[in-house]
Parts: sequence; C-alpha cells; structure tokens
Amino acid sequence: MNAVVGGFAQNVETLSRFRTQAGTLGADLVLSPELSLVGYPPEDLLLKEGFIELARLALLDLARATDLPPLLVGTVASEGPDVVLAPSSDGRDVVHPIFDEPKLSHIANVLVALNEQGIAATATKRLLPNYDVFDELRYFHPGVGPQTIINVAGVAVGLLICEDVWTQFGPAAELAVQGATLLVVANASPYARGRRDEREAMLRERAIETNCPIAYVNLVGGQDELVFDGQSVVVNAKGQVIARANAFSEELLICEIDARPSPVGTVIDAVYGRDERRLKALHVNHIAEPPSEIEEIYGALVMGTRDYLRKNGFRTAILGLSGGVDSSLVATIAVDAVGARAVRGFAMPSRYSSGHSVSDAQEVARRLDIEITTLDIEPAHQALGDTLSDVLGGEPKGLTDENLQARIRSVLWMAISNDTGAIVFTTGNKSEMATGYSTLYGDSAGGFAVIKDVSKTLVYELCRYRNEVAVSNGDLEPIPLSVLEKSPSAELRPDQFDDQSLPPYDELDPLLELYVEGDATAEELIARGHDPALVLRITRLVDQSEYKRRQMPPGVRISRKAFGRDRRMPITNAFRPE
Amino acid sequence: MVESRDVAEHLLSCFDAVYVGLGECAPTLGTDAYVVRVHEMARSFGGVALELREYVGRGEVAPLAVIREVLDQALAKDPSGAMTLFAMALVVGPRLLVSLRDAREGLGPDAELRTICERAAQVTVQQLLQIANTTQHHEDIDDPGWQEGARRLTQLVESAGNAESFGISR
Repeated sequence: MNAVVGGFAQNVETLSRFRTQAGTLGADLVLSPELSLVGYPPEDLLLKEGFIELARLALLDLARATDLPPLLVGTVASEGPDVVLAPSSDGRDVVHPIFDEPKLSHIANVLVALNEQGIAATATKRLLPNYDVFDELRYFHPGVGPQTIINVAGVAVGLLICEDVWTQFGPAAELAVQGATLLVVANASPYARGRRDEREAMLRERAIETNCPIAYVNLVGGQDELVFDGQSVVVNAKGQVIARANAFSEELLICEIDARPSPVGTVIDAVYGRDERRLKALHVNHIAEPPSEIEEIYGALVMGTRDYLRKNGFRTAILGLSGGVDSSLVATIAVDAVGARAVRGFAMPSRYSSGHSVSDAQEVARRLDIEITTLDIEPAHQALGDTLSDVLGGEPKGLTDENLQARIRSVLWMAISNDTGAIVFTTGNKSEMATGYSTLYGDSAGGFAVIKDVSKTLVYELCRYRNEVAVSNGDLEPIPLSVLEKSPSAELRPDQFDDQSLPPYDELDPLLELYVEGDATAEELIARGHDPALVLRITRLVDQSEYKRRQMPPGVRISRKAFGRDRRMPITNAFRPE
Repeated sequence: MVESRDVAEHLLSCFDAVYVGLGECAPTLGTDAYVVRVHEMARSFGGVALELREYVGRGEVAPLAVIREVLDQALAKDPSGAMTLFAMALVVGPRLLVSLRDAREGLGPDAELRTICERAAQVTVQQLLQIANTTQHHEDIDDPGWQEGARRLTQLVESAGNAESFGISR
C-alpha cells in the first residue's frame, strides 16, 4: 500500500479498496503496513492535536465498514498500554477511550484489529527505533504489558510492528511463548541497497526461533527522501519464502498459510471466524522474482521521483540538459516516473559550451520524446559581467565567473518554474555533493535532487542498465553512447574537465563510500592503502562542504547513509582529526 | 494539469472495454450463476460507460485493448466463467479503482466528471463484492493449469505497463 502522510481520506479509500478486494477473494484476515492510516513517517505532525483527531475519525470510518473481512490497520493512538476491547453492543461508534481523547504526551504507534463489530483489539509497538532515519522515541511511547494475540479461524495470530520483529528473543519470541502460532508484522521499512536480503534473512531466523510462519507486510511509495519498496513477504515456520509481492508497486498479496492451531490456554484478545466465500485459485501463493540490485535502485529512483511530484501536487518537471551523463539520467528517470509529456528540458549553452553538449542534449530529448528549448545565457552572462566589473575591477574571472554562469541558469529555471508551476529537477550526484563540486544557488538549486544519493560511478551503471532495458524491449537506448563516453565536464571555463578538480571517479567513489557511508576515519583509509595525500584532500573537501549540502533540495535515498536524515554533521565544528 | 476530456476518454475506453468484453462473453458461459453475474456486471459497467460517453460527446473511443485481451483470454482458458470473475476481481477491477482515484486527484474543478468518477468507483466496488456472493457456493478450483492461466492474466497487464492501474489518460 502506498499511504500518503496525512492523506486520511486517500488512505481510507486505499485500505477499503484492498479490503473489498480481499473480501471478494474470501480472505480470513487483511494486513496493512505500519501507520497505514496516517502515512509514515508523520514526524512532527504527531505533535498536532488536529492530526491525531483526524486519525481517530479516519479509523472510525474504517470501523464502520462491517461487511468486509477483518483488517489490521496501522495508526496512532493517544495512550501507550495495549487495550483489549470487548465488542460493543451495536458494534459501531463505541470505542475505547484510547481513541477518544488525544493526549499528545502519550502517543503510541499501534496496530488496530477491526472486525465486523468495529474495533476489536490493539497492539502497540514495543521497540522504537531511533537510529538512521528513525526518530520514534521523539514521538511515541513504547507498548508494555501482555502482547496481543487474536484468533483467526482457529489460529493464534500474534501482532507485531516493524522493529519488534528484528530483535532476537524479543517481542516475537514472547508472542510464541504466549501461544501465537502465526506472526504478522506491519512495517514501514525504507529501501536501501541490500535491505531486502537483510530482511528476509532476519525473517528466516525469527521463523525458526519462534517455529511460526511470519507474514511481513511493507509500505510502498516515496515520502520526501525515503522510498519504501514493498516486497512484502511470507515465510513458513522453516523460514522459507512462500509468497512475495513485487517491488515498488501496490499489490494485494494473497497467501494461504499453513499454521498450527492455537495451543490450549492461549490468551486470545479477539476471535475471528472463517469466511467461507472462497475461490481456491485466488489463494495461489505468488512468489515475485526479486529484482537485481541495479533494477531495484532504478525502481527506487523512479518511484521516489514520481511520488514526490504526485504527492506534492506537481504536474510537470523541468531540468537543464547539458548533454552530460547526470542530466541525461535524470531526464530518463523523470520520463519513466511521470511520462514524456510532463518533462521539459532546457539546453543553456554558455561561451564555454562545446558544440556536442547541445547536440547531445537534443539527442537525449529526441530519444526520450521530450520537449527541449535552447536558451543562450551569453547575453545575461555579458550583462552581469558588465554590472560587476566596477565592483570587481574588471570582468569576473576564475571561480566567480564559473559560478555566475551556473547561477544564471538557475535563475532562468526558477523563472520558468514560477511561470509554469513545474518543479525544477537538479542533476547533481552524490560524489559532487560529497566533495562540494557544485555551485550553491547554481546547479544545486531546484526543487528535487533526483540522484543526490547516487555516486558518479553508479550513475554510469544506471545509464547502462536503462539502455539495456530499452534494448531488451526493442526500444531505442535513451542515453547515447557519445554521452557515456565523453569525459565529465562542467564546461564553465575553456577545456574544463572534472578530473582537473577531482580524482578519477573510480578512485574517488570508493573512498567516499568508506568515509561517508562507512564512517571510516582518514587514518583508517590510509591504513587500507589509499594514497595519504588524496585521503586528506578528499576528507577535507567532504568536511568543508557541509554548509552546501544543508542547502540542497531533497532527493531519493538509496544508500544506507544518505546526506541529510542519515548523516547529520554540524556545519560549525572545530573537530580536525590528525 | 490533465485535461478533463483526455481523462474522460480514457476512462470511457476502460469501462467500454469491460462492458463489451463481459457483454460478449456472458451468453457463452457454462455456469448459469456466472452467466447472470457477468451479464449484470456488463450492464453496470455499461451504465458508467454510457455516462462517460455522454460527457465526452462526439467522437469514437476504442475500448482499451489490454482489458479486452484479459477478458478474451479468461474466457478462452475457462468457458465456465470462473476465470472471467477472477479477472474482474483481481486483475481489472482493482486497477480501475486506482485509475479512478488518480483521475479524481488529477482533475481540475470539473464537478461533473468528478461525480461520474465517484459513481464509477461505487459501481466497481459493488460489483467486486457481488463476485464474492456469487462464488461462495461453488467448489474450489484446484487445477494447476487453471491457476497458471489466472497468473498469466496478471502478467499480461503488468507487461503492458499497467502494474497498478490503467492510467488516467492515453
């Protein structure tokens, strides 16, 4: 499910759609992701009483649909402890005070079990992650006391929320001890490279540890910088995958699970009967083939970009097409995300632009079938140079003149954005962001930085991957060979190439990965055999560029440590390791 | 901003494809209960198609090919009608609902088309629930060939670029 943060009406509609579909198929229980009703992560919206109140009303909306199968829905509640509710006499609007009076100091992340009589049981998240991109201790109180087990068609189903299942001998094991024979986990687990393998390995361990099948449902969709990849999965008690949903798309995964009946003495919080409306073939367990790593990364970039536009009300996007590899990749992702008609490119040659940069940009636009407009920045460059000459004692030179050109382009993009309502995509990559190889308020200015977490070497890999996909589909490769083979250049001065300012990217990127994502020290990098002078130069560049990165637009997170939510460094600091 | 007319034409092509596809296959089905259900479904979806056609006005709009293909293949693989119901419940119906949702979100201030979209969503939900009522009295289908055929219907729409929905315009 692709939930929208604060989009209560949309989320109720989506949950109802899946619940209706599951009802048609005769499902005994429908599981939705963590905070599926409010979206994830709601961040400081959780500090607003109105938000909690709307969550409560949305839950009541869902609870009124009594002719549909039982649903586990993720939401927020205003108290911490688990509360088990006896079904009310009319089964409608009568709910426990846990959902009646919002108390912002006691917000909990809960999974609510709805049945034909309304709200039947709740489970509260026990373990609150507070690392990487997670801040849950800032908002939530952890669940305490006995855990929640519901009986679904004779099976004792233990309810867990995301982090609860990651800990060995933790809440999952406790549920098994209490008599649960099937575990269901509602999750909002963001995508990062290698995360799916890690999740499935963990589920294998947990299933064996508890001797229970586990149904793990994950959120799908982009939310600011995060992308949730879905890939919900069900494992049997031996940890073998028996059903897996596709990556990066909403899907109702139907799964028939063979679980032991509840042991005698199991404390059950709510009972659900079996729905006999069944069409057997609809219960075939589907095991989606997991995508390759490069396919997954590309899928994350497309979904993150599409959802950022869609969920923020943008219909169109513009970007500068330089004829280089970065802007070509961003244009291709943009077209895959929102369609060629919604993307427009601008070639903005300066006095230093090569002839092939404009022709390559035009060729990319032709292959992607997007509109491209050429705007000559020379008159503006000349005029600004003249304006500045008195102050500077002559025409701008060196870096001043280089940055002036980049900033003229951004002024034009933003003017077009103002006039058309289109969002501006910036095209900088992670290698540039790390080393500060960009112009503040110039090429780094815009609304969304599509590849800000993609290193330059990965940019090339993604281009090649996307071209291969095109070939296998019988389409024209979107990124011409000439773009892939030329040396990277900002073209802000005569004969400028990236490798005059930076080491070759195949040397730079591994260093950056270790320093930025691996938190290695310069000393450790040197000990690993990297050139000491290069290490000191690069680490200094990274450290000095924090002020630039803070002012970058948001972009899709694909690595385990992206700039921003993951890697939080003070701009002002005197820490200078030897 | 998406043009209302583009959206309406596209939705018409979807609903018309369902109407024509179900309408043509209903009389040929081998299970009486399924004949009635598929016929009723065709009429309901046809009602939505008619509203959209009136909104669009003149001009021919071809039924969406991928929906026709799904329904044709379902009938070819299973003349009883069970796979046609499967196709509507799991393949076509949910994607129509997502298209209708996206259309409502993408539309400008066009109250008439918005109302049609809302009614279309209600009709689709009602019809999905009716499928459950119809199939509950029938035997489970264990034939692996049938299940493989059902799976292929999903693959068919996914490979046509309709993993989640049929889109909102051409």
